[in-house]
Amino acid sequence: MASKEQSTDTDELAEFREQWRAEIKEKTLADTHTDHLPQAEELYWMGVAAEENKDMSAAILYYRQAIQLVPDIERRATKKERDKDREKEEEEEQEEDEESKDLSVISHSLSTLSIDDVTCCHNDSPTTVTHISALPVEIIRYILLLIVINDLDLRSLEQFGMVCKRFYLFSREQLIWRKACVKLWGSGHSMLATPTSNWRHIFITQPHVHFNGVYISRSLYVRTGERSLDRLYKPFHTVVYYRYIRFFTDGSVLYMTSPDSPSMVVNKLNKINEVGGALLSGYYTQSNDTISIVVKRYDPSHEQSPRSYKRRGTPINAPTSHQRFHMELVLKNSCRKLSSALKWKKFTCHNIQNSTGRIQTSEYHIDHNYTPFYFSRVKSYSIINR
Amino acid sequence: MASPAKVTGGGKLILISGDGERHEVSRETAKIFRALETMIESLGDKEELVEPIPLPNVSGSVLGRMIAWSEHHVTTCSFSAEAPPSSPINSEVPVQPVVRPKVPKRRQPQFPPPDVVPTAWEKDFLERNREDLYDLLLAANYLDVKRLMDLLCARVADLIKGKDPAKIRKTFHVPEPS
Repeated sequence: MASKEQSTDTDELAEFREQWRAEIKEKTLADTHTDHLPQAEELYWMGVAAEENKDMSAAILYYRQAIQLVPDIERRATKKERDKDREKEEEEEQEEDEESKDLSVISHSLSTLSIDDVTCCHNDSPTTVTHISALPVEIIRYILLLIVINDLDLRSLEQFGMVCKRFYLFSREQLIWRKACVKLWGSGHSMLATPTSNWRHIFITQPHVHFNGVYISRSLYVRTGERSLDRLYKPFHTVVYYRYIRFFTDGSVLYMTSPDSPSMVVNKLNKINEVGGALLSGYYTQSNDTISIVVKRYDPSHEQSPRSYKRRGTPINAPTSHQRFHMELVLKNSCRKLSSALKWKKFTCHNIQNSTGRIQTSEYHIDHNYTPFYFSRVKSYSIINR
Repeated sequence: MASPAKVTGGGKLILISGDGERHEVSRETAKIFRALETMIESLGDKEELVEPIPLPNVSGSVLGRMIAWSEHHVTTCSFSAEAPPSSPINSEVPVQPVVRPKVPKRRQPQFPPPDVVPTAWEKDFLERNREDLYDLLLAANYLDVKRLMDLLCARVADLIKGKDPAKIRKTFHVPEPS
């Protein structure tokens, strides 16, 4: 019995001693860590900086010194950094909260306004000329509708809304945005059946083509040139060409392929200009986010004057065939604007025999030469000279 | 078609502007102002209207130009206040306004608005009056001259289109926000 008791005593003692030693060891280790932590951190960050500068040998030297001081320096340093980042983020979030609070206050105060309450900003200086604010509400509505409805130039409307409070209220009226939606999709479209109180949102977010500019696709290829006479120099030419598409609200479309830069072409993409040569006209339809375009090649040299038709109605020297191009493009959002990019999906050419009506179809392979179209606004398109 | 008395329509009317100017116009001219049309038609054929018609909302100078507008449109008659006349214009016979049922109320602007293209004379008229577009617009609205209103509205719309807010403020003399 006695020997047994003694042995348990010594066991306990040994256990305690071990525990005590471990505690002390840990304590001293922790002490050294906390003592050297700032120094080690400094070394660690110097190492990081050196590594970023691609100075690897210096970086390794710094890291080694840091690890010698505090073995788990990397974990500690990065943790500290993460904490800092988090704090910063929280601060930013708070700021954003405040900003959005401001915004919601403003939007709330704007939403409670009505046109009848707000007076237009007057020019205080007395003038003999009647001010636009003298116009009755229905006339201003009518004028805005004139701006918007013909070519769906809602950008001008939004700009008008930025002038003053009263104009803002006019520019956000549901009626005008609904009219724009009806014009865009046609009165029978399912989109218009959805009950909504925000037609502006629908108009902006639903994919549709833009009308106040042109979609441009820039392609280039490399062509080998003639070797020069001294046989030392062989040039390569980079050939750049553009495809242009301009959409109109009435469903028509103008298409052009040209080596000329956009600044030279935008004025040609006009309905007043005669279609012919590189300028093709046609029409487009939209289903979901796919735009289908059909354009016809029109060759003025084959154009017949009415006299050259025989009595029976068959033209003399009529072209034996004509071409029709079918394009399918998908509306995409670019980083700057919704629905401002068009990606190629399909491109076919239909060669139609006039006499037999036989159609020969050839499909072009969509490769890297078919770069997407990007929208760019053309200011002159929103100005009409009456 | 209609009674001959109406064709001669000789009765002159006197319109008095807001600032007291008196303008004498023929019945046909005054009928271009659709706001007065019903009243004029209800006068009967031979009756002379002695009583001047007060138009308190229109100033004398603006009324003068409005009359110039309607006189032009009566003589050319390419655009009456409403539909173009059904018969071709004959230089000898004064043009007969189409007899139509009385319009009880003035019309609201139609949506969507027709695409208005001004004639050369109208273009010139608008150009001459570009200074007080809004006075004219108010008068056209008050007297219900549809075509003039459409043209003026289209003109104001063109002034707004394609401009940024700063330019719109400048065009319409709206002060910059403080």
